[in-house]
Amino acid sequence: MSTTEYLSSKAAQLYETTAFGSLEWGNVLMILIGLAFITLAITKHYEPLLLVPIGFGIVVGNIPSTATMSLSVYDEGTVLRYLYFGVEQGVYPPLIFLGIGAMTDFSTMLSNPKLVLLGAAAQIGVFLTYLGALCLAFTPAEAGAIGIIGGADGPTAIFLASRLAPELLGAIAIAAYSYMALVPVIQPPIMKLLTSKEERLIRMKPSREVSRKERIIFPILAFLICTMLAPGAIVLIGMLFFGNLLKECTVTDRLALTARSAMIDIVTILLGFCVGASTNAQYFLKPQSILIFGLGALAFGIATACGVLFAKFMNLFLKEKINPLVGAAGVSAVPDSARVVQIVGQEEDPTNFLLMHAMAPNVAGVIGSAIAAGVLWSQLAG
Amino acid sequence: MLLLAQEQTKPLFEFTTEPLWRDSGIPLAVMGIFVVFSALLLVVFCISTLPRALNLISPSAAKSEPQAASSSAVAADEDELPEETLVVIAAAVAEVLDRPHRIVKIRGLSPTEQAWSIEGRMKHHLSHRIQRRDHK
Repeated sequence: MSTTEYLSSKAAQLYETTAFGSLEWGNVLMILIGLAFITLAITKHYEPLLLVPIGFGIVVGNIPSTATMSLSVYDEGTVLRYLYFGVEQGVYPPLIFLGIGAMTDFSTMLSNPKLVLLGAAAQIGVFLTYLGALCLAFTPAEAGAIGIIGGADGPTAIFLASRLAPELLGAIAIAAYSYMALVPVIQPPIMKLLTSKEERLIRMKPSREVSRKERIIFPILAFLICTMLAPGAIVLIGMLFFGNLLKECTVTDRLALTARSAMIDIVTILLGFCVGASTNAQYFLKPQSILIFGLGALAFGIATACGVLFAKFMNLFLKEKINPLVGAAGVSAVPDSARVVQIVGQEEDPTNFLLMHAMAPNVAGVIGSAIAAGVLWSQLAG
Repeated sequence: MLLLAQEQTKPLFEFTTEPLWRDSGIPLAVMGIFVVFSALLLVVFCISTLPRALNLISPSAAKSEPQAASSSAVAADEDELPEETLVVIAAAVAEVLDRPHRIVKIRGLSPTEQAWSIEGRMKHHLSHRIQRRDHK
């Protein structure tokens, strides 16, 4: 064997051990998508806390592993597989809900209870998209997992997908978080299309003060009501209200602080990274994923429209009118959709402050989407 | 060969309205919407009646709490301020004035009074010396 032949065989052997050997176009495409997520998060500040872990996870998940060195979330015994357990078995979403509960102030909702109904109206989008997915030949369980994207709640979508359609988890999670990041882009045209200038100028009365007792009793009472009606929501709703009780009772400040800071951050990192890493081109690049993205956008649009239209419907009966823009915050992308309401409202009247009013349907939307998930889970599992 | 031909003609996605009429179709969607609305309507009812219920259970406590909560909107009397705060204010006044004085009244400020921003604006305006211009 000549030196040239020896060197070329060694080079070929070396090439075999690198990832280039088994890199496919699908992997390259997914890596570019991951990098696009990271770029959007850093340059445009689109949900950076989610898109950076997810984007980097996508890059990691699409580096092909060699036959002797299995590293992906789908390979038994790997580190990523152990971390992915929390996604697959629905461990992370309830922990995120605990943190959300510990950082949510329900007092705007308590001070203006009628706005809660806007959070319920936005969930119509979930069920209409569910029907749409059924028409596109998805199984009822898959359709349920796709429909919940309209709830605009990433952890809820992941939780339900892991229960009902684990094979679609990656696509559903990426769609849910992508649309959550795109709230400022998707919602304003729908809101403007469905409202007149006069409606956008409506000013709402300032909220009343809410007593400490009310804020302590609310999470317990609401938990009992919601879970009695939809026991499937017990995991998400239970953790949400438990977190809120830790915050409001004032005697567990340390626990509330941990839940809303260190713990939620750790779980967000793990959840985002693992979801990203699960989008290996082999499992992710399918026609189904394109349909899921399309249905997700539809779900989001319908949910926004339902919130706005329901606010207009309520105005037919109310003495003190609601600004219909507030209805768009019924999707539970907290606090992004409330912020969008504030921005769109201020485009018409810079002195009109809708943010605190929009927070009421926004947090009601979190409860509503968790109940919707509970209903779908209890009816479609198994 | 037949299977291959079938796979080749399979469309990217199918559309059928048949599943809508099963139990897991429209009936489930309607039930889901009903449950979500019922749960949140009950929450609305409970939230609306909660202040009244608290008032019935302990009228004095329920009355005093909103008053305490709204105290920021109403000027507080001296008696409501803790003694420690009064001592600190008195010490600060003595330090700033540095001459015999008498504090007549101390009251809490509401957020609408914007006392700090008014004070800041006043300082800012006072920092400029307005020069007289003699027009010829």
